[in-house]
Formats: sequence, C-alpha cells, structure tokens
Amino acid sequence: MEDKAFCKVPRTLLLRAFVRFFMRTPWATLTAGLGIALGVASTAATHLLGLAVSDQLSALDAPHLRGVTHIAERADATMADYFDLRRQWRTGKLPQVEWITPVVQGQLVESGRRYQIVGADGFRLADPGSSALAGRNSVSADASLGLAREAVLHLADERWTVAEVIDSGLEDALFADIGDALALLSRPADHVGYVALSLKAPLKGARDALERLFPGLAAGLPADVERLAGWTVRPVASVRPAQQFGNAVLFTRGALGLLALVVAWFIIYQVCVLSLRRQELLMTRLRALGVSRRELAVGFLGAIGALAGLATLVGIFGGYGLAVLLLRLSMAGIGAPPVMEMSAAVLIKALVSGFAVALVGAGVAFIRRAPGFLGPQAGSRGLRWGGAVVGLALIAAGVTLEETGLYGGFLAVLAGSLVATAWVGPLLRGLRDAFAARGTAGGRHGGPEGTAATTRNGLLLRLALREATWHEADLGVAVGALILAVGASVGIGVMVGSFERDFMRMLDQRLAHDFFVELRDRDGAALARDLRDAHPRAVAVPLGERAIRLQGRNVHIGYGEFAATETARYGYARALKPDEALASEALLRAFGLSVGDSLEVGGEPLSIVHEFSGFGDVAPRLLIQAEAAAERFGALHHDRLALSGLRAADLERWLAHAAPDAPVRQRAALRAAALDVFDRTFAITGALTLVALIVAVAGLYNAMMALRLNQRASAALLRALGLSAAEQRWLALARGGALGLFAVVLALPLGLFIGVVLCDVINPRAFGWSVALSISAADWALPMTLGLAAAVAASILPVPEERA
Amino acid sequence: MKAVGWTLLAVVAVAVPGCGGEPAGGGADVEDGLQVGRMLGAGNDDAAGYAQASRPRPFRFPEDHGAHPTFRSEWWYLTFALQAVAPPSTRATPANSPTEQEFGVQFTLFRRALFPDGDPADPWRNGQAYLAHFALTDVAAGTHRHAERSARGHPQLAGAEVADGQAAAWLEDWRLVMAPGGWSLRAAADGIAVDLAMRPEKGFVPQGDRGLSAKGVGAASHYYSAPRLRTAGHVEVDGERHPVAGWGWLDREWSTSALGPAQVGWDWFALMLDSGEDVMAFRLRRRDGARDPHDHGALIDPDGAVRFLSASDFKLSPMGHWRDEEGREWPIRWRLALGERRFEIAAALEDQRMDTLLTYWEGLVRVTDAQGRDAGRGYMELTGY
Repeated sequence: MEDKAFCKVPRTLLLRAFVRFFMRTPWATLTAGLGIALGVASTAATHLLGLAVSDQLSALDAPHLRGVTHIAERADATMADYFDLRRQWRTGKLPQVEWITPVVQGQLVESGRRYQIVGADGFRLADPGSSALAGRNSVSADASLGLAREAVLHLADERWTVAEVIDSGLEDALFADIGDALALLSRPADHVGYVALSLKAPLKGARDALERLFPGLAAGLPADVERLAGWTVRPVASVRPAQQFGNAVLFTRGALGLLALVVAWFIIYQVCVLSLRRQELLMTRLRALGVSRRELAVGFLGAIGALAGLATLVGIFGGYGLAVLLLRLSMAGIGAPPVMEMSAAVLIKALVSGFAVALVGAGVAFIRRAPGFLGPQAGSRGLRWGGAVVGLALIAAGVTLEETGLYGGFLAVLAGSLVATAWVGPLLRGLRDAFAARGTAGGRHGGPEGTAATTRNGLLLRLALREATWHEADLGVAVGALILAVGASVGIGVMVGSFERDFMRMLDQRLAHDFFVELRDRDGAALARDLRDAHPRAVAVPLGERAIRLQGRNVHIGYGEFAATETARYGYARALKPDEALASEALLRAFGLSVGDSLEVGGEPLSIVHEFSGFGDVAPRLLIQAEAAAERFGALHHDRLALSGLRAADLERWLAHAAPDAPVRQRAALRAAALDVFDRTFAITGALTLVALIVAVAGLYNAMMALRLNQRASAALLRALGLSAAEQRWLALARGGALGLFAVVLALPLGLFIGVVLCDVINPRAFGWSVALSISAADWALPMTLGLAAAVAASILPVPEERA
Repeated sequence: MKAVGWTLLAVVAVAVPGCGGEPAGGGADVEDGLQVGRMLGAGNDDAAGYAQASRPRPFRFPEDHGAHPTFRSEWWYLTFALQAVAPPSTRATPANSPTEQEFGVQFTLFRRALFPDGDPADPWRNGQAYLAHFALTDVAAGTHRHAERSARGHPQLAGAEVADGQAAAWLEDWRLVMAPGGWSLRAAADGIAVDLAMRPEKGFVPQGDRGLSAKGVGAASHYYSAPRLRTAGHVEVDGERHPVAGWGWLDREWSTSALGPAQVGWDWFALMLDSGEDVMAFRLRRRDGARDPHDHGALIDPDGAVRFLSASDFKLSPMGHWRDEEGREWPIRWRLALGERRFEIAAALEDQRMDTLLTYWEGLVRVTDAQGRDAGRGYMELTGY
C-alpha cells in the first residue's frame, strides 16, 4: 500500500525536499557541515603529522641494519657458525630467511677519540643499497662524529676515507665493510659479533596496510618471533635503541591519532543524529503524503551524503593546512619542517571519516532515532553492562599483562574511554529521573518558602538542569566526545606534567657540576690531577665510557671516580665499591634484573646496588668505578671532565693552557637545552590533544544549537510567561554550564586513569623508563576549565533564526 | 664471449660505490635495462692497476680454468642442450635412449675485482665479488626458470681456484669442478636443480686471434671455449628427477676492458650441429646500425680443426620477434649464412628471458638447414634490448 502511494512521489522530488530543508536552515547546515569538516580535518591532520614524525625517524639509517628484521646470536660464535647457518639457508633448510649477513661491532679508541666500529658484509645482492658498506678502507661516518665527506682518518695504522656521512642513530659510529671493520678492531678473520637476518614476515601485508592507514601503529605490534636451532634470535630493535625509541614515539603518536579519530567519528555521528532530529517534522509531513519509510531513509541519507561529501572536501584541505601549521609551530627554531604530501591513505581515511561515517551514522541514527519509522530504539541495558564487563576485562588484561605491549596499554585507554562515554546517556537519564522525582516531591509536600527572586532563580536553575538532562539522546554523543577529549587532555597533561617534574629532578641531580668539558686527544684523568694541583678547591671528575656486547645486547659502561658526591648525581648515597655498579632502568629491564642482583661483566660479577632513571637514554647503561673498568678492559681513556668549585674565568685560563680546543658546556646551558628538547618532544602531542578538544567543542556547539532550535516553542512560552532576555541568557548559560560540569566531572577520573596508564604502563613498555606519577592541579585544571568554558560558550553562542 | 657478462659485472661494481669506480647514475642504467656500451665505456675509466688483454695468449690448463684476479672481469659460462633419457626401470623404452623431452641449462659464474689491490691472503679483503646465474628450460612443460646469487670472494662463499691438478669455481653450493678425469656441475635453487657430469670431446678452442678476442679499438678479452662437452646426469624440476644426456658448451673469458661506447648490444650463438660441427658467432650491435667490423666467430670441424670466422665470413639476420609484456621485441628467429650454407635458428621456447639484476634473453635454440631438416641444437644470448 505504502509503496503504491509512494509511486506518485518521484525520488528526485524527495531528495529535493531534503536538500531544500538544508538550504532553508543555512546556519544549522553550516554548523553540521563544519562538524563533519572538523572531524575530517582532525583525521587528516593527525595522519599527516604521524607521517612526518615517521619520516623523520626513518631517516635514521644504520647501514649494517638496512632491511634487517632480526639478529641471531650464540655464545662464542665464530664465522664457522655463521657459515654453517648460511649453508642451512642456501640449501633451503631455513625457508623463513630472506638473507643473512655477519656483523662485527666493537670500540676503537685512537688519539683520544672513541669510535664505535660496525661492520657487515656489504656485498648483498638482495639489497644493493646496503653495499655502501663495501669498499677498501672506506667508511661511512655517523654525523655525531662531526666528520666531512672525503675526510681522511688514520686508524689502526691505516688510512681511511669517509665515503659518506649519515644519521645512523648510533653515536660515534663508523660503518665499514666487514673485512675493514675486523682490521679496525684488530680482530681475527673468524670473529663474528652476531648474525643479521632478514626474515619473511608472514603478516607483512597486513602490517604494511596498518601502517599506511595509521602511521606509527605498526611500530607497537610485537616483532615476529623466530627460532633457529642453537641461536638466540631477537628483533633488530634490540641492537638499535634509537629505532626502539623511535618506534615507541611513532606508536604513541599513532595511538593519539586514533583517539582523535574516534572523537571525530563521534562528532560526525552526532551531526547525523541532530540533523535527523531537525528533520522530524519534515519527515512526518512526507509520511503523511504517503512516502515510505525506506524512501525517507534513502532521501535522508542522500542529503546527508551530499553534505558530508562537501564537508569532507573542505576537511581534507583544512586538515592539510592544520598539519602544516602545527608542524611549523613544533619545529620553530629547529629547522625547516618536512614537506607533507597527501597520500592515498590520507584521502581514504578522510573519505571514510567524513563520507562513510556520516552515511553509516545517518543510517544508524535513522534506525535508532526515528520513532515509529523503522522499529523500536536499539540498544539495551544488557548490552551496555556486557560492554562494560568486556571493557573492564580489556583494561585489566592490557594493564597487567606485559606481553600485550604497547597495544595492551592503549587498548586499556581506549576501552576505558569507550566505557566512560557509553555510560553518558544512562547517567544523564538517571539525573533526569532524579530531578523529576525531586520536582514531584517538592510539589507534593511543599518546600521552604524563599524570596520571590530566589524562587525564580531556583526555578530557572532547575529548568536549566532539567533541560540539560532531558535531551540525553540529542546530547549524549556530543557530551561523550567532550568527555573523551577532556579526559585525554587531562591524562596526557598528567603524564607530561609528571614526566617534566621527574625529568627536572633528574636534571638537577645530574647537572650537579658547574661545567662539563669534552676532551678529544687528552686523557681526562691526567687533566683532573693537573687541575686539582692548580686549583686545590676545584672538584674534577674524569669520566669515560665503553660500548660492549653483553649477552647479545649493546651495553654502555660508564666509568669514573664514583665517590659519594658523584654517585649522588644518580640518586645513590655512598661511594661505589669496585665490585658494585649503578644500573639504568633500561638495563635492568632489558636483562630482567633488579637491585641486589649481580651481572657478569668482563668475566667478573658486578653487584647492582642502585637503579637510576635515564630519560632520553634508551641504551642499557652501567656505571662502575674506573679501577673496576681497568681490570676488565685494560687501559682506559677518560674523554669527559665534570667540574665544580671553580670560577668560569679560572676554568677558561686553565683550559687555554691544558686543553685549548675542548668544548665546555655550562650547567645552565645544558639544562636549558635539555628542557628545550623536552618541550619540543611534547609540542605535537599538545597540539593533537588541542585538535581533539576543538573538534569536541564544535560537536557540542552543534548539539546545543539543535537543542535550542528544538526548544524554540518552549522558549516562546517562557518569554510569554515573562522571562526576560537576560534571564533567558542565564538559562542557556546554566544549561551549558551544567552539561560542561557533567562532562568534566566524568572526564576527570577518565583522565587520571589515562595518566596512570601512560606513566606506569605505556612509558615503561615503550621507552624502558617509568615516570613517577605526580598530579599537579595545573595538569588537570586547564583542560577541565577549557572543557567547561567550551560547553558554556557553545550554549551562549548566537543561533540565527531559521525557518525550517 | 658473452656481453651480458660485461654488463652484469659493471652493474655489480656500480652497486658497490667506492669500489668499482663507476660514476653515480649506474643505478638508473640497471632500471633502464641493458645499455652495454655506456656502462662499459664508464668502466674503462678505472682500468688503472689491472692487467690488460692486449696480445694473443698461449693458454695453460688447468691453470687457466682458475681465476685471473689481476684482470677486472671474468666468467665461466656453461650452456647445455639436453634430452631426457629413459631410466632403466622404464619398460616401454630401452634404457638410456633419448625421449622427446628436451631441457636447456645455463650456468654462469661471474667474477669482478672491486679494486685492483686486494689482498689475496685476506679472506675478507681480497676485493673479489661473484655473481651466478642458473637457469633451466623445460621445453615440454613450456617453462624457463632461473635463479641468481651473489657473494663476495671468500673461501667459504665464492671463488675459483686450481689445486692438485683440478679446477673449481663456486658460489656457495653451486659448484663447477674441472678435473682431468671429468667435469661436474651441481646447482639447485627455487625448485630446479642439476647434477651433471661432462667430458670435453674436442678439447679447448682459443677464440679470436689465438685467444685474444677483440671487441673494439683497445678493447679485447682472453677467450677460449670447450665447444662440445659430452654430458650426462640429472635435472630436477619441482622434485621430479629426470635422467638426461646431451651436449654442453663452456666459454671462459677474462679482461679488463671490453665493449666500446658505440656498441649497444650483442647477439651471440653457440651451435652444436648434428654434422659434428660447432659454430660460435656473435654480432655486436652498433648505435648507428652499421655492421661492426669486430664481429667474429669460429667453425670447429668434427675432428676439432678450427676455422676463424671474420665478419665477412658469416651473416646473422633476424627473421622473427617475440614481444614481451613490457613491449620489448626480442629477435628469437634468425637466419645464419655461413658461406654458401644457410641455417635457421629458432628459440625452443619464446620466453627464456633472464629477469635478473639485468634483463637479457638466453636460451635453448633449434637449428634447421635450408631444407627445413633438424640440424642441431645450441644456445643464443640477446642483450641490449
């Protein structure tokens, strides 16, 4: 019957009716489009920023590890072991291996300068680029060495030419073909450090697709586990701390982008819900004319699709501009920001976020929200409780199971966020019911009589609260998005604040000396004695470092005169004994040790007496007395001096004579530089959370506007009852304030939860260091205030009169 | 002489910056395909320190089967025209009699010196690099499969040496052994394998002017062939092992400089005729399309007598082409005019491209006489297309 009736109404006319509706309500349409465009812009911007960070990190290029996925090690491995493994590979017994190459690594100190020598077999057909390693007496130098291309070095009694200068992520590293590296290290031809492998990744396609869609997220996936008989196989990141660090940074950026994406999707869905709400009258009329429910849905979806298509285009361009702006801001003073290019993945993601989410959202909204059109409202209490239980289980698993890695941590954050937002509707309904009950009770029993003004204001406040909670279906999603955005902002604020305070505490400890001198061809121990002779009140501590391989990992051994004053820089109260060591948190984590355990270094055990944090340093590090290092490694070279108790002028005079070319860095300058790095590190993070907040505010404004449009009739009634314009504004403000308060009150525990997970779960898993959680009011007050202000602003911003 | 050898070795050097000395941009050449003249012209610039092929050479064996590391480039090039033979257990056919199933096999080991002053005593710093190609054509199945490997010169990885009267050239488990009692070749990769025993029937033939093969002004190599190797053994395709017998051909060549900048490609033929004669002939293709005066070849009688063929003694004309999916036209049918005699040469299978570091065509061909009768088998190499 309905279908027959509909035959009289052409489909184009129906679509035109919906489009005309949009055009007659330009302000509402504009804000709806803006909501979608902002969501798309946020999606595109976070993706592009993630790509920019990813590109910067992948610029780190250690030649011996190009294309390497894993490393294989065994105790006392020799080249014979390597060739045996290679024979197995060549005869097809290791089908998972794509190629294989031996690596040698060690330290060379020459003319007082320390070099980390890395060599691999540069001749590999599988990756011709890697053959930059090959060449007689030709090396690639890490930029940290400050060498120029074509520079000539005299090392190990031979002349070497720097063929290229690279950013390898390995400090002081010289890369050479394996034969040259063996010569530089004076090692025999059958020596091998470890074997580098490229293994076929079974899920490489899926991993690559994930990375294309969500830059950084693939970095958090667990590395493929592989077993080779007689060998210990580890992912390559274990010998490449910079890559490990980079992966973690990438992943956190990617996860943040995902959070922004979720907020954006919420908003776009909210826009659809509100659009539907505004068109209810139109739909009722059309139904009366005999249009079927299905055709109504098609018309509505077509109109939303057209709007979303336009908004998506605007959002793509806006997102690009936003990303360029944010990157420029975060790179100010560092260098030129990289050029960003629109990739197919950005466009797909933007189209899915804008167009597809709008269509799906509109469809879901139509099914759920069109009373009497297509059936009962979906969603049930059972589903919500089930979701909450699943969410809590995910949180518990992600937080407690270390094996879940970064994904576990972020899954916990995401689950917590979704659980919190899923309960916005029921909580609003609960509040509404409570107000209703209170109102009924007051009416039945009568309340204490106040002044007329108090009663009027009280009534208005009650009306505002009632209105804020009455339309939970209209406002629920927008409020949920605001909770998510404010919660994320609070959580990240708590983490960054805690990190900053911890970082500054560490800086204050470490920078206890006034000056730090980097020596090149002079030995620090002799210079320290010389300085003490010249200035008896001066404190001069010579320091040195050696990179070794320990149980298959690169470990930095720092040595020096670790008296109680020196160990205090690491938070330890007494002098180190020769068989004692201070261990970095990264080392204890890497080796699965804790304070009180011992670790064998150079054939002798060292007792770990204290753990120190080393933010920004992901390499495992041990600190031991110089005499203990000399016992293990022979002659030592101290290439740094830490100085205090000396005036700058005296130091300058002494250095002019003792080590004229040695660069000196003052405590204040070091501290400022470290804090500058810290600020830059979190600049983009802050920007991304701000983007999410802006999107959430736009969504809330959309929701409030629709609410006010829907309430024009009641507003007219209130005006007729004598409500002044000021009182009406106060009513709107109270309504916005109530909603904002509701959102930020819920966002606070969510934010604190996110902060705790970031500090205690994600940071240790990502970077190997934990951050002591310390909550300062500034960390949460600002995002909460912003959230509250945004809600109030959204409620009092003008809404032009429109005739639907 | 095989032009693909020059090219591949030049590319190997390009892929090892700071060692071969080829200027930047060589990588683009790899992608563009074979640009033999340009590549080799560039290669000539860093010939300092290497030995040069400049005069005829009296070959000495087995020493000359081994490596000549003072020269920059060298290769061991083996091709085979084989037929499956019925295994002893097959009742329908007498044991070891030929069947219709034909196979072609190519095995090449290239050596390239990365720098002239390598230390031969140091396994990691001897400055030698090796590249190997292995291909098997199964005519009945219509397949041509190939594999490629590379490794640096190292006793455990790749090399060529002569010891106790026998020579060996290898890249890991791909191994050619040339012993007085017989030769052997073993190679396996990606589902194909060969295990062949060979014996030279006609000894060794110095090519060009007593072993000096000129390719241009000031460009020459030392070149000898073992034109008719009686071969027997097995080939394996995807686990199926076929006993085979037939003939093989070895080309050995080493030099420091080769083709000139005017030469863009190369068509090479090694034909083993049913008459017992063998023919080697190559045609250098010049940019200007003119016949290159350095084209040459050799006609080897059944009794082993060798007749040098100058450019005027033979003519090679393309008669038909096959276009690959990238649009390249490969001349896979030829006419060879050798004095008054005429032969048709046709690819046993159209697609016998080697899609390796460089793309070239190398495969089994059938030879027919002027009357269209089957006249023999051979191998053809086409480069620079």
